[in-house]
Amino acid sequence: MQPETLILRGGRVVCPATDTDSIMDIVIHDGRIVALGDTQVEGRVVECTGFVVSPGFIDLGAELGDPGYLWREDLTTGSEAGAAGGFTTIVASPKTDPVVDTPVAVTELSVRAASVSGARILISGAVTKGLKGEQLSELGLMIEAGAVALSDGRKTMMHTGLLRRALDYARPFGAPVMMRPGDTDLEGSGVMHEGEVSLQIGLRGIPSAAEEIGVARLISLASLTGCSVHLSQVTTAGAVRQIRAAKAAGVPVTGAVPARHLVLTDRAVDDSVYDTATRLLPPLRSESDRLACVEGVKDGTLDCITADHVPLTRIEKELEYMHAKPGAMGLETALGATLKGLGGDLSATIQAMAVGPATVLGREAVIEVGAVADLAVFAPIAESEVGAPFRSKGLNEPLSGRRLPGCIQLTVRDGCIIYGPKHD
Amino acid sequence: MNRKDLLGLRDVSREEIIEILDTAERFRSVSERRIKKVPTLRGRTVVTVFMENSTRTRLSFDLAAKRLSADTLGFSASSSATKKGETLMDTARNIDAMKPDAIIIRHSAAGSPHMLAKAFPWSVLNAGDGINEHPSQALLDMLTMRDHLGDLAGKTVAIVGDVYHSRVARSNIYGLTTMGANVVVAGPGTMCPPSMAGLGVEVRHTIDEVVADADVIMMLRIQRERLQPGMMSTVNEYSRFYGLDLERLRRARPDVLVMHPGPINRGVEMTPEVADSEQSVILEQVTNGVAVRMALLYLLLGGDQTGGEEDAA
Amino acid sequence: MVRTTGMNGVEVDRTLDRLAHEMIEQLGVPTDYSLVGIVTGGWPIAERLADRIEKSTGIRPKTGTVDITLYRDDLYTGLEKPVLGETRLPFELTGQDIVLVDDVLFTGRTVRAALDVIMDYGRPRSVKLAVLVDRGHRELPIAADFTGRFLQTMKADKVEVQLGRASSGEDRVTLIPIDGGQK
Repeated sequence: MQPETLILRGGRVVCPATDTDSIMDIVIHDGRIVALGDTQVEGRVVECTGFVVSPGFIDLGAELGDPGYLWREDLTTGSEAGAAGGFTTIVASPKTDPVVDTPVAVTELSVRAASVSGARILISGAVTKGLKGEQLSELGLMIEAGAVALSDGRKTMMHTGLLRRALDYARPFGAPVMMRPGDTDLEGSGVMHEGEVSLQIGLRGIPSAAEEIGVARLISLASLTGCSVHLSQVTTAGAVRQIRAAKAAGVPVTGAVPARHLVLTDRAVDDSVYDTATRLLPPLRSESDRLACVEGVKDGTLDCITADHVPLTRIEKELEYMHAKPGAMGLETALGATLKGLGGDLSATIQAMAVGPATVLGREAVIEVGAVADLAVFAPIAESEVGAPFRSKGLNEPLSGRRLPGCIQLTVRDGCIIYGPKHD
Repeated sequence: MNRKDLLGLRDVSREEIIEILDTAERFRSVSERRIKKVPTLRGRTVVTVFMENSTRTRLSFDLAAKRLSADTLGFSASSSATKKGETLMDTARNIDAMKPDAIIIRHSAAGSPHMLAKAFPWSVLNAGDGINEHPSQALLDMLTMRDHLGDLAGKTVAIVGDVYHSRVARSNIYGLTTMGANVVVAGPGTMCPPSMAGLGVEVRHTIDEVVADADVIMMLRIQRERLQPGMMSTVNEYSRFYGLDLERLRRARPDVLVMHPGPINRGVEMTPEVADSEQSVILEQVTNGVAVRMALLYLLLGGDQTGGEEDAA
Repeated sequence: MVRTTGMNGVEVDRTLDRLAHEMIEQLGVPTDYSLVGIVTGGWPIAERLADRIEKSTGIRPKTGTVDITLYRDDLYTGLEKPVLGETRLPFELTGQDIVLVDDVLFTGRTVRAALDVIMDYGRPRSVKLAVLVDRGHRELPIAADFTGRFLQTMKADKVEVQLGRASSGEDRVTLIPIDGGQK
């Protein structure tokens, strides 16, 4: 934390929580915003003219590799990658080795996470021991030790009876429960979306029905137990429709769509000629699914964008398509993909990348006097080509070579610059 | 044809297919004369990489290369490198270090030949990748059809069986539709779903619906060892609705061609009497296989991109 | 150097007549030998020679064709992939006397390749060579037994042989010199 005062001058401040969209200066001192608007304060000035200033982005579940997968990512590189993408807070997925499923593991990881110099890293705990979907972890103790959320690590927890009991049990502790809606049996040996493209290029498919069934299951259980369920990756039109109806009926569900799913479709697997960077779970879907997700973000059905950050290296990806591990890195391109997918809609973008996730965590993402100074400054329209060097260790970026807007100029966390031209 | 690899028939033009079939006809005569060898690919190295078991296709390709005087090497799934867990890319790098001219690859993962073709300068011939394509099989099927039917445009080809999961079917569908033929597919709902229409074919259900109008009936092998539970019930039920027997053959055109990529499950997709009937051209398919594969190796390798002096008489 | 300009239809006609008579004189009864034309230029010459031999003797020698594309030694240096022609030898080669026939004899490489094709089909008793035009510049020790006309050429010149259908009036041999001018 720097003792000096930081002034972001002349940026277009867009803050959905306060319905703000105007040019103003932001004065930051001691980790918080102390003044907005024209000021005569002295301090270190960063020119933000021509750029947008928004609350820093929040990701609810990135795979950061620590412990156990340090060749794919570590807390430092993950935190830096987040900062480079405008993220000021990242919730680490418990899908590590060993899995984060005890209060001791939460504590240890928190200690390591506290010293990162990029985005703030928060810890989530696994709902079941080892993420095996068989026995509950010590949910209460993990939350007490500092876990901000509980997660199924994408494994979908197929035992519906146990899932119900897990939601009943977790509800009173108040932390959000984040699950990937799916049906592993129906997903079978599918490696991409089941549709016209999978038929044409001879790959086994995962039907949309798998996600729709998963969503239906979670919505029903959320309604039954009253436990808030966050659907961590939503990609199909059918799922969006169900969530819309569920919310209208007052069911406590929220949903997130991976940023790249707003831009890419299953055709990318064909166009890239089986490039394993396009091997994802959930897979890239059809164009009509993509459009439904875009609609869902714009009308608030989908509360959040997630970078869905799963960094992988040559070991996992330089294989045949069906053997490659699914996943793609995303922290550094999430803003660009979202802006592109939403047609440049700034307010919807910032709402989904900052406010929505903050709300799920029971926090705030707001630019107002007294608030924590977590900010992202970016160029909303100018496009640049996605490519190396990346801060993440991952080598799997399916958006490589594309031109995206949203180049981050500056990221500030707790009042300190964690990414920017003047960053060390 | 001016390409480095043959990965499938999806993007092969009508002119290219005609060129391949015409060239294959020329190569048929090599297999019929005393010295069944021409020196065209002398000194070239062709490596077959068969990560899935297959005797006939591997032998057919090996023979094709040898009859063109190329040197051949074989890697198989049981080779110790694979057993030790070497990845396909690492195996390919090792092969690359030996400076081959072409790799013929069969693999259970769709997209494997494409992965190698992108990364290496040698020619890649797809001998079957997962459920995606098996172009040389479709080409020899089309050559056999052409021998008997002439121009394939407007002819009706029925493909019966596990069409959705068959690379032979997919390649045939791509090739035949390119040549203007009408393709109609039939099979159990789990193996021949309505979505197949997306490939430009007509979708039917039982074999009875397709026998009468077909110029060619192509029966696919039921790969029982690969079926997930629930894909079909019993062999008895399968042959009752989707198998080809003499009674059904009698309802077909008298000059219909009966084809099968082999090996046949006698009594499942067709009865022994049908396999041995006059309309069956299954053995011709095998003969044409070597010729087609020689043609492919010739067209991919038998020429140099550097361009030198013009030929002198 | 005076370079001959070529042959017109009448000259081609007379040359073929003479060649046919030489062959009848030297080779004996036409049942003893076969004419094998090298694809593409040699085959029509072989047919014309066979016609004339039949006209003179009443017996037509057997004819066939060899395509040398798969046996060429320059297959890897050509710019385009040459189209495969047909090798048709509808008679037993072993023990036979063969006369290879081509339109132009130049470096000799085509004839070498044709010999390889023949040998892969059988073991003839003898192989002779008949050509309409010998334009010199041999790169291999190959010589014709029956030659129609010798043409003085530069190596980079082109020699084109055009043979019409039935009427010999359309036949011609054209020398296209590299320097464009004719003298």
